[in-house]
Amino acid sequence: MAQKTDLLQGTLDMLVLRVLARGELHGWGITQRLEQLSKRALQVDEGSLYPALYRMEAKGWIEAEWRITDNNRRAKFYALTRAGRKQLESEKEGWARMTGIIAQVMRSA
Amino acid sequence: MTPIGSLIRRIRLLLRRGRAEQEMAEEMRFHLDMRAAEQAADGVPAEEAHYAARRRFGNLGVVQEESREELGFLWWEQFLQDVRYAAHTLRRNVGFTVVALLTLALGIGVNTTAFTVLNRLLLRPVPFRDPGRLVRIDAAYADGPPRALPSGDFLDVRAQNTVFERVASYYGVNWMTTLVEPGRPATRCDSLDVTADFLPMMGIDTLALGRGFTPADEARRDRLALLSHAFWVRHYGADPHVLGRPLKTDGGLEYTIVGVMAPSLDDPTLFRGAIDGIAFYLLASDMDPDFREWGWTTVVARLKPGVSIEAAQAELTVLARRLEHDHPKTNTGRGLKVTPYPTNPLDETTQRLIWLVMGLSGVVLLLACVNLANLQLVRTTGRGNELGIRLALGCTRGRLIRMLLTESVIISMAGGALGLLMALWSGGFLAAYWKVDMPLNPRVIGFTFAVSAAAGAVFGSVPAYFAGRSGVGSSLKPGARGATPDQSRHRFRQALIVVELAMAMILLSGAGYFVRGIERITHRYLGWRPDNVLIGYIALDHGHYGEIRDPRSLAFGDRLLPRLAALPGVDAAALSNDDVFDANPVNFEIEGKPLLGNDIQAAFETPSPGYFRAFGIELLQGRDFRDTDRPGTPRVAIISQDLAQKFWPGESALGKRIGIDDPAHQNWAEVVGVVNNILHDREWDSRRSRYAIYYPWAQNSFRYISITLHSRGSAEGLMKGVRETVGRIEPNIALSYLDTANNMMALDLRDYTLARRTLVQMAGLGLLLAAVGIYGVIANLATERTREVGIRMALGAQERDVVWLFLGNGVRLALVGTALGLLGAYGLTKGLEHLVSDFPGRDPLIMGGVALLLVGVTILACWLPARAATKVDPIQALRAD
Repeated sequence: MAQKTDLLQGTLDMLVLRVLARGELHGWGITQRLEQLSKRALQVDEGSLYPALYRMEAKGWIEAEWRITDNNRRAKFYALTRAGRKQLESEKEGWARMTGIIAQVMRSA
Repeated sequence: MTPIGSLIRRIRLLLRRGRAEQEMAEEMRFHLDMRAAEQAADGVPAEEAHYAARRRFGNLGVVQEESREELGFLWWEQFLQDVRYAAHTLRRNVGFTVVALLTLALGIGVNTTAFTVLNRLLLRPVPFRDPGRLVRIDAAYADGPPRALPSGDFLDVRAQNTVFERVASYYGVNWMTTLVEPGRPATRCDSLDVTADFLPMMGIDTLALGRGFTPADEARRDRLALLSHAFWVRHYGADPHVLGRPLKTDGGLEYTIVGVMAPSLDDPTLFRGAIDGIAFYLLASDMDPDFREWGWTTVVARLKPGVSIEAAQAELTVLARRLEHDHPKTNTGRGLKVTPYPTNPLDETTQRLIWLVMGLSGVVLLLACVNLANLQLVRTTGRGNELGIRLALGCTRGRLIRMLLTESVIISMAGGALGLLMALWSGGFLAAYWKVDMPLNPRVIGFTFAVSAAAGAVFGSVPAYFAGRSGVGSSLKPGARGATPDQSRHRFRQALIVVELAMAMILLSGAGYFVRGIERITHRYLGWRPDNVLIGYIALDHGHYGEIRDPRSLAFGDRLLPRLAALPGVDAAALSNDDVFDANPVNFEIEGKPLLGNDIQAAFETPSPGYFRAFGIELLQGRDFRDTDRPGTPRVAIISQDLAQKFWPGESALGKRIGIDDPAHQNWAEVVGVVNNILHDREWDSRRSRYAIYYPWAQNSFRYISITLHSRGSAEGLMKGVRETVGRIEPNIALSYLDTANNMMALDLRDYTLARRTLVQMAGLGLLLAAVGIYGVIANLATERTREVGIRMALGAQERDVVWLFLGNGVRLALVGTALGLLGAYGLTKGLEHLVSDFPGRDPLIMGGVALLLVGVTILACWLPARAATKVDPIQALRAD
């Protein structure tokens, strides 16, 4: 059942890192921000968000802390680490390169 | 994150699983609540909002599973699940579980026991310091095996060499002395006579109390003793005032205790099992610098750093020649041989036997695994439905395989634990036997663990492999038990039968080969009758009884012998210098014939009258020694039959003259009798000729006396009387040993006896496993084909035809398996020939017998279920599903 998001796994990671680069957020906040930033065009498969967050935490790109929200509820906030920042840069680079290659192929073919 | 960091993190998470689960649930609940709130804000009614949030989120269960996987404890949860499920399945199939446990316990237990022995006796490091630099020095002769170095030669080697750091001598492995103390019963203890250098040289000289031996002590010829720690505790109760106290032995010698060894040296493998503690005596008094006739001690030396063993040998060869030149009477033809000091107390043959038993027990375990693999396959076929459903519900093949493997490994761990218990029990028995403790130390336990896991993986992989291959659909169809069993599975099981037959064949052949070899060795032609024969040994002291042919020792014998012969129940009594096992080889010459080379030797013994009668040796010509053959009367001799026939073929040897070690030809002895050949030494695989020469004891008396008695009843009954008789004549000494000939031989052969018994047991076990396995598989196959049988019979097949069908199949398998097994057995015995000398070569009788046996078992295994299958009502068979 996990096969659906496999292809987008790398991109989802990159997007999450990008969002967190702006500041700390909890999972719900990340979902909202992604919808917001993409002007509602991107509806993240919410089911794959949390496994992705745990995976990135295991890899050391983000770190988590439980805090009280404005609504007085407990939530887990995620923040980017130094390693995460580096990862984001390298992913941005990789992504740019790939889109460039694809664009070139599409143009010439 | 570093690999270590991430590992620590994972472990921490694993341990805090509960909390992590809670937090995850809380986090997702928060998310859902927020989404629901958002929906509600958009005007969706509350109930709807929650559902919408859930739908939007996705399958909560799956998400949580995935999260668990990322969090790193999914595998653990799944593992626990598998374990619980396996326990459940095993409980439900009690029959299978019991059979599996027993089979595994036997298979693994046998291996654990064998490994315990291997580990303890062969793999443990030797406690000597730097054992690679230790060498042994023997007297070498152009023919024949090396012999002990006489004390005169030893002292010369010690003084004149430049290649050794130290040279030392010791005597008495397995030798016991009896300690006499006023007011206490006599105690026997293991003892070792050593020169002062010996313990420091071997690196085993740490002391707990007092001091060790010094060269000054040796120069003074002091009688000193060192106690091992265990002995000091056991016998003296760890009394710190033991130093300076005397130690009296039954030989009439008194030693002063000067030190106690450290407890770290209480190693039972040192010097072959002195487990009760050892007393070390300074080997000073018997080190006569002029004595060069023969030796009895073992000489060990440590090479100087940088000196090779070849260099040492070269120097000693030169030294030997010098000794030959200086002492032509005794040292002619005597070389000095340097060999690495064997640091394993067991001899080669025993070592190889141990490895062999280890190998065979591995085969037994393999047989057990094959059986279990078959059993598992049968069960898997029956579980086709259950597994099919699992696959349909989304279980991955990998997960399925993992589940089946977990089950197998759990069973084999349980079986291994049982096997460990078994090994513990048999280990106790072996410990008493070898006088060495066989603890279940971590290495052994680790071995059992590893073997169990491996066994589980091996026999579990079979059903796992097949489970992975079956499609979902086929197993869910009705009638899935199959009109005919799955083809590949069927072929595989047939292959397993063939493998099982082949392995059983190899196992039985190997065991049979060795058992035959052992029997051949132990039933060697003796030439004398060991029943009801009592052999004893007295060591009189030098001060009172002097050297060889001293009249005092003769007087002692004259007093002793008639008294022994007069004991009730004694049929014959005799004295000699050596017992029948320890005859010394000598060079001899025949009067009137050309000189014989050094390579012709005869066993030399000096019996009193009555000796031959006591041993049941037959006098073929002439007469036995008489009381009148004494010093001063003409020298006489008795020779063995082979000697007589070789040198005086066709004529009588009586009246001819021979001489021993007598280059001056002064001391011919006249042959007065001929006796049959006998086996002369304990080297069971010796091929020495059966030449023997006997001189009368009276003309060669010495203070080391061997007593032989033949009793009319049981020989044990005489022991007390013999001790008392000796004690009355010479109260200060006791017999060094006294035992029946049969017991003595049993002692020599005990390693072989144990090996033979173990091999027979293992072969029996292997055969049983193979038979049960083959029968089980074939019976099962037959049961599966019940439907087919029903159809055939409904279509008119006779009972006979059906039976033939099964039988034909079985016989074919049997032939293939046996053929393969014969090949394997052939190769095995060929390899074994090189291992142990004097064992018979490939024995067609054994292999043929085993082959027939296995084929017979297979046929029986086919025939019985086949008959049972035909008895089933065809209609029933067709209905059964």
